[in-house]
Amino acid sequence: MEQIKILLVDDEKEFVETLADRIKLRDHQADVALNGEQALKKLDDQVPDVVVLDLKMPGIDGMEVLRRIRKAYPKVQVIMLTGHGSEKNEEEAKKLGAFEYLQKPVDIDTLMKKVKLAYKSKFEKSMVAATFAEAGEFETAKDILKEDEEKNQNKK
Amino acid sequence: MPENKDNEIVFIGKITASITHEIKNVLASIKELTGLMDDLVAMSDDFPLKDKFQNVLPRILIQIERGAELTKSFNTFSHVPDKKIGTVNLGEVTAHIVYLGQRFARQKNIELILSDSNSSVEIETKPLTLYMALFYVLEFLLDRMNNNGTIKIGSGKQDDGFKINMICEGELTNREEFIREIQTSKDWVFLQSISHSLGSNAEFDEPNNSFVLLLPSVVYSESS
Repeated sequence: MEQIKILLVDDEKEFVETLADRIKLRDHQADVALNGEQALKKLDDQVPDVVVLDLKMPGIDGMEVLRRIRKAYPKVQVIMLTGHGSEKNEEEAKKLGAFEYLQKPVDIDTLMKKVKLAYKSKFEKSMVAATFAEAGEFETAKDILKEDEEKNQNKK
Repeated sequence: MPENKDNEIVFIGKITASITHEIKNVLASIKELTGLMDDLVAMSDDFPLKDKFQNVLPRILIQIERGAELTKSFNTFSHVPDKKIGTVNLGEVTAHIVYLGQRFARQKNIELILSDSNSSVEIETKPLTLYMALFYVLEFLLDRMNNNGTIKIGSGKQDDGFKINMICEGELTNREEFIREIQTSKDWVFLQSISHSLGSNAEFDEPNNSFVLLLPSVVYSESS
């Protein structure tokens, strides 16, 4: 099983640290940021595969963090996990490129299933491109990656 | 004065919404801590009282789920007064009324269910007044029904407007008095005054034992 690098961003310390412990027990890497600024700094230091992000936090809120992640790290998938579950917020988050929008409290199995799907989707395009590259079709591989990049740009 | 009253209700809604968000965070933390205990107990081969823990921990999780559902419902309700007039989905409102009314119905041993004919049409109305009208119709029925009955709540289109109905399946405590109360009781007069402010009428369809609230697709602000 591949180890997924997950960054959990939430200002509820008890919640986020316990969730990180449970993810680690499932043999994945979990790091914690307690606000938006800390999350962006951690991303600059080490890019995770998936970010699990709260919406309402002091300082830079979740929606702005999502916007900045999608711009600076288009390959990183973001799952929103929030207690503020309005349809309007969900629509906005998805428009900004959130992979999934989940409500607190969430079942760990549901969360991990979504994290794995997000992780898989991150690699889908690059896997296809790699297959073409291995077959010597470098131009096709480049086109696939370019298309993926453009798709991410359009989402912003 | 009425404007100040509206502001007070919006204020209560705003603070309640904020607190329900915090309760969700508390429940989420308890859920993760319980889950972590469950994980650790499951991983250990020689944990004392392992069976007992594995019996109790899922029961805590069920209560957390229950708390989460209630909090979600409370949060939805706290947003009802956000707009004096706004778009509401009748299917969602009736489903929510069924959820909110369960505790009241349970105390009378009456089953409250969402009718198959529930429809998800949207109308422009006074959301808080609509909730009040539906709740008081329900209370009017619950107060006058014998135990072990059923009330089915549904919504749909009717002529040029829309309707919400509550079908009473079960015995009334006193049918004659019930019919008389519909015309004269203070409860009924109060209910009608709320209905009128929605541009609506509450009617009792006697052959079908059903209360019907007829609603226009758009309520005008002067209907108050």
